[in-house]
Amino acid sequence: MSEKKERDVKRLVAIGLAASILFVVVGTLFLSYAMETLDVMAEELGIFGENFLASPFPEYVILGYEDNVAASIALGVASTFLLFAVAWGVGKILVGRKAQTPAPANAQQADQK
Amino acid sequence: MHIPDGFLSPAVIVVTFVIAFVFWAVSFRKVGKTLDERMVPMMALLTALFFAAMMMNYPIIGGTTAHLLGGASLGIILGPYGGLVSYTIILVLQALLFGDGGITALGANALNMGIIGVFVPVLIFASLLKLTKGRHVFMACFVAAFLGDVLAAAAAGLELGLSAPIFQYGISVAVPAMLIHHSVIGVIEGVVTGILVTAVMKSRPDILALSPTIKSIPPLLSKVVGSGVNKRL
Repeated sequence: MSEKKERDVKRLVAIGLAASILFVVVGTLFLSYAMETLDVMAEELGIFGENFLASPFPEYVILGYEDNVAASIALGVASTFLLFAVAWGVGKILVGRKAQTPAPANAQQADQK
Repeated sequence: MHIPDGFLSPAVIVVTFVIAFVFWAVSFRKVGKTLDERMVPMMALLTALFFAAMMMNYPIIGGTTAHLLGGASLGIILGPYGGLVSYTIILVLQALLFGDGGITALGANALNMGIIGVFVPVLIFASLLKLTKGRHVFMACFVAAFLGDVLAAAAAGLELGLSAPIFQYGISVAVPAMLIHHSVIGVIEGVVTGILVTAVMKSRPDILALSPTIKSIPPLLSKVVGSGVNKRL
């Protein structure tokens, strides 16, 4: 990849991550109240779905800091970066496989000669 | 729309996991063949972006809220296989870290949001643009994203309705309720998808030209290529 293209990619990633952080901040400050249709129906039926695995950050908050907005934003930003890193890693592994695909037989024969 | 543990019957859990595993197996195998290496940063970026976008809950009807799904955007830009891989990463981490969606409902959530929410919009988007010879991109995005959201919600309602007696509302109640409420967020999803795809098309046509979905629509690909992609490639 040329230097210019690499710079373009870095700029795009920076803009995208900045937008993601903005979403986290807006989501935490103004749009955090969640009462989905599914929740309403479950409440009406008296069903309280309890997940089998205990999650470390239930409802997107740090336990003990439930009312601390700064802690919730920090958690949101950190998890956004985690998602970014995991997706990049998975993408590299999956797409990298293509590069490791063995060369066609005639190419291998040519190499042996 | 994330279904937690304890809402679905064992039969629905098994069936949804079987369907999800088939799509996962195909997608994880094919994404390496269809996705260009230069799209990996875009995949990481869109995964993070839509994870963050899902943290915003918009008020809709009767005091309820809904969030964007992002499946249409992921599918159009990364292709259906890349879109499902990206969505699976989001769903797994949401379930494990935040308890958003149950681990036994992962198959159902992946089927609704990752498979129906990604593959259906890609099919609709591609069909509409082939019909219109690559014109009306915004409209194609809007229709694809709207129908993707609505059908994903209908699938969730169907799974819940089929899970009686655990979820006592039958299909006749669960499906319309999910459909009506999610059609509102579907409109927002349609607009957001249209804005995102047309913005990428104008500002970075070189990225869109690498999309497996765009490559499958020759009239649109030539339009994208013609809009300056050669200058960047």
